[in-house]
Amino acid sequence: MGLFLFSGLLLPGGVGAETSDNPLLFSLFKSLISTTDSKRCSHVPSCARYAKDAVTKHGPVKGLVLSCDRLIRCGGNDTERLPQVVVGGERYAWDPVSSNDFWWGSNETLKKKGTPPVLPLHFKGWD
Amino acid sequence: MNRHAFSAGLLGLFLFCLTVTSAVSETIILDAEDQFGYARTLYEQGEFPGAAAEFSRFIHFFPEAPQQAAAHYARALAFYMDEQYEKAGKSFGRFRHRFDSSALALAAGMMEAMCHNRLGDPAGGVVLLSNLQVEFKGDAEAQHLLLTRLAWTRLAMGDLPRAEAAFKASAGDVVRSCGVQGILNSLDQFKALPEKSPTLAGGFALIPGGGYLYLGRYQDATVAFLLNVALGLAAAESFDDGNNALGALISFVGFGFYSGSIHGSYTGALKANRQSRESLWKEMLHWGDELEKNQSKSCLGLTLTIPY
Repeated sequence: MGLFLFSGLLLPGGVGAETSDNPLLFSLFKSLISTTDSKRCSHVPSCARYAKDAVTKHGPVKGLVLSCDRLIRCGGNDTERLPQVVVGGERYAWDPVSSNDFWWGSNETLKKKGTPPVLPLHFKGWD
Repeated sequence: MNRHAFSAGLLGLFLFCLTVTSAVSETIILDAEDQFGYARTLYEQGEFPGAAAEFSRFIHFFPEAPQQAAAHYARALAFYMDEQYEKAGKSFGRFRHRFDSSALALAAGMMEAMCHNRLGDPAGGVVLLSNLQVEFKGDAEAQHLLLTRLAWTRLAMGDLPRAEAAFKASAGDVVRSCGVQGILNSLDQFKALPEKSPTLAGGFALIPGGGYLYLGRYQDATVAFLLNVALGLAAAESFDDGNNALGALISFVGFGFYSGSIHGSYTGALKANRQSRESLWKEMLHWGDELEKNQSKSCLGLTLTIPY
């Protein structure tokens, strides 16, 4: 029962959701909280969007870990170190889910032809 | 009066027809030299799509001209300069098969490998260059150019240990202006860059905020510490008061923040290492681009000028 309620909150298609694609928690946050306390997130995508992307990509448990990690970092030291983007005349830190789950195993996007090479995390031959 | 005007009109029409006929019959005859020269001029003016079209015209209309190989190479080069790398790669490939005994066959092979690079597939370029090394065995100059090209390709794909080995092997007789010594120095600097251990960061994060503290992110460390301690105390208080449901909910959220801070610390160490290394790597790649702008064949192993 608890798991059912929890998945309803986090997974897409929750009851009363803004659209059938959005989880209930995301819709509630966007329509009730975000509209009243104005746009304060220092990242792009915003923490709510990031959480939604994380849950959609990795499921509720890993999505929760990623989302909480982002909430701790939001507005902190990490904001200055990330690549900056300008949206609507304001600077934001660019931090999509792919910037934080890149070490979780094989990343399909890196295998696609035409994707620029990335610097490996470890170098064999220099150890 | 009308008859005079009519005659004058007729005479005018006759003269006009004569002029037009002479103009139409005046045809321009281009020879191979003129056509090649025109295409080359367009190329030198930076009109690469036009140059490619004119070289194609040359190839079609002057199949017996001695500049056929040069025109094929130049057309591929025009595609390359126009950043049509896929077309350029195919053209260089066709050139190698059609003019395999030409002095430009090696140059075309290396340009084809470069097109793989530009298309984001440097590994394909390495395979091609390795095949060319076998094909041109015994040709010392070709081997040197191929080694130089391989070094740059390895650098582009981020395979720095092999890039370093190839640069060291090719640096012996490379002119000083190429800046290969500078690249080797940058690679040494790269190896000496301070590195944060992701495992240590993750381990320290078992104490809330410890991982961020290790990474020098004091604000994040404070937030992580306060959040985790507050949620832990709230959960314990709820269970003590018999509010098990509330306690479970707070514990669930607390678990998210606790594991999130461990994840964030581990990822943060990886990101910090990558960020400092990537900027140095991009500097080295930028030096390669600068050499390419100067069309430095001996430094890059690329023939970026039209052969005449």
